[in-house]
Amino acid sequence: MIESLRLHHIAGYCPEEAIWKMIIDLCESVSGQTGVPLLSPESILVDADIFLVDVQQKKVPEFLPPECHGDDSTLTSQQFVWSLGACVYYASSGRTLFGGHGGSYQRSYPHVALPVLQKKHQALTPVVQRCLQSEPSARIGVKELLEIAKKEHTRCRTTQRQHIASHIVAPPPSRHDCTGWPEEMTDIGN
Amino acid sequence: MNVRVPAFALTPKGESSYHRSGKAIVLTTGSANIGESADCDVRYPAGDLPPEYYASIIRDAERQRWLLVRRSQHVGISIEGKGDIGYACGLGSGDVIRFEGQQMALLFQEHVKRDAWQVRLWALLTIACGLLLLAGLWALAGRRSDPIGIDDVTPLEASLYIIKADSVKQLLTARGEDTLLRPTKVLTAEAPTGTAFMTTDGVLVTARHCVEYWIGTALNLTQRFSRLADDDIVKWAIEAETFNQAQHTDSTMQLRVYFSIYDFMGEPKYTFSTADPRVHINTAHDGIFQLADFNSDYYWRTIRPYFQDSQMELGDIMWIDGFDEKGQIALATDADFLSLAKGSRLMICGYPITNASTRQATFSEGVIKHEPQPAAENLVFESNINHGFSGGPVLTKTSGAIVAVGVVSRVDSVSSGIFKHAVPTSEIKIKEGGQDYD
Repeated sequence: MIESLRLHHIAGYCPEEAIWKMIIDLCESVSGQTGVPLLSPESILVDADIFLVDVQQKKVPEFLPPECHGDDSTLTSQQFVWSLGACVYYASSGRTLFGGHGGSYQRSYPHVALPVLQKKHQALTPVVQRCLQSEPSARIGVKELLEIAKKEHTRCRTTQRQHIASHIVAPPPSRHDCTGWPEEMTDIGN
Repeated sequence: MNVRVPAFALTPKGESSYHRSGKAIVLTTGSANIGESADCDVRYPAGDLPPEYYASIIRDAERQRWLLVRRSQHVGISIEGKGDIGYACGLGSGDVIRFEGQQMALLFQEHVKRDAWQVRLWALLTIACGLLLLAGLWALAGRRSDPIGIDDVTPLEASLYIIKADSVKQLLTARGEDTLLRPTKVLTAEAPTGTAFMTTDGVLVTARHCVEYWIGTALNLTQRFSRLADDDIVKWAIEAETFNQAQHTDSTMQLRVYFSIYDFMGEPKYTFSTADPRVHINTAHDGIFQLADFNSDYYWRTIRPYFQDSQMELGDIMWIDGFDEKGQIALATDADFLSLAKGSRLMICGYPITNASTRQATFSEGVIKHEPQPAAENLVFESNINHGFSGGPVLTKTSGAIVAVGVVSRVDSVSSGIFKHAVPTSEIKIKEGGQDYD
């Protein structure tokens, strides 16, 4: 039997599209439920291009929101959103939030600066920061998070690689002489 | 006692501009990056697109397996007989990995070491065969790459110089006459300084960007020309290139740099300008790009490796011939380059900018990081060097002789590490009369 892959296997390598897909799959898996399972890099399974939650995994304190004290076996939707934000940060960077301390650090310092993701994942930063608000009522809702994730995932899937101006191989297309330069090239001091 | 060290090999099926079919590219106990970036262990050509990482092969120590992890959202990845990999999959020996849009596939094969007694037996047999082979190669080639230390290079200090650009003029040359187009730009705080070295042939070698300091600028090709400041050297360079591209007469516009050479005691030795016929810059690899300024046509000349055209970087070299003085640093021959391999030991010499008022020659150990392909791209190495080493010699030792295989060019910081680049000295073309190779 082939052992499933988990988030910690691909963390730090994920393209942006994969992280949006993870958000979609996990939000859809908990949609409509009152108690949601604990999230951590070990509990999120990667099956080809689908993300699932392994409910049998133990809780990881660093991925619990600041208002949890470790004795919860399921989360509320607001707590789920925080854990998902922590997992998104982990998927992008390969590191645990707040220098490895996770939610307990935010419990001690509620106004700690929220993380900014690396440049290739910068579109995820606003969403992650809305997930990681220390005040549960200030966090983004699951429904809105799912809508944003679907839209961004579609954008990633449909955006083509950008071509840059290519090497000149043909003669220059236009003819100028010294007196016929564009005004902005000869107007010194403009 | 069993000795089992997991490793894997990647062998190309089909050819690319970087790799030949059937010859293993990777055999490692670590990880491997695959993609278009220059630091990838397996490289694919990028064409005119920004380079991407396609995937990485990493070790899952817990499950004792190798994983193929996707890193690009644009390039599909599949395994023959198994289909698309999704975001990651386990790899097994014999898996053939295919990347969308690329003809070359990769055969993945796992390797493990044999048991201890077999290791010893095979080791003895291998060493014996290896000694015989080495003896044969030694007889044939007569060269090998030796360790090189600081004692080998310290005596070369007198052949090292500091190079400093003093001023730049923008000139229009027509019928042999120069017309100054703007006030001379005298360089002060932004003056680049680097290292130069004198060879046994009486040729002074340095990096082109030590003098033409704009030539490797990361110009945003969507930048509007009109937004550049009038005294911006980049604007001058764009004006010159645009004029020359459009000009169908014999007049040309140029940026002429005046620069000084100082010896290891800090004494001024020589002054030159880039118009001097003894000064040679190889512009054959230069890339010329059209800017995205839609009102007019503007062009930019650079050696920065856009689109992973790594050959462009070979242009970051300048040499000056005609000296009576001879240095102590010999340039590497073709046979010397053959002895270079990944892991070859190096010594890099230069004048780092650690103190604004005093410059002291410094020698830094290094090692070749990627398998060298001197005719196609720069040498990539690791060493603890910084600003000021540009233009300095990258030395190695073959058959007891110290030779310069490269000229320090640039530093490349990517996610997998910090790599230094050197232009191979095979780019220096020395002929009678010092013909420039355009």
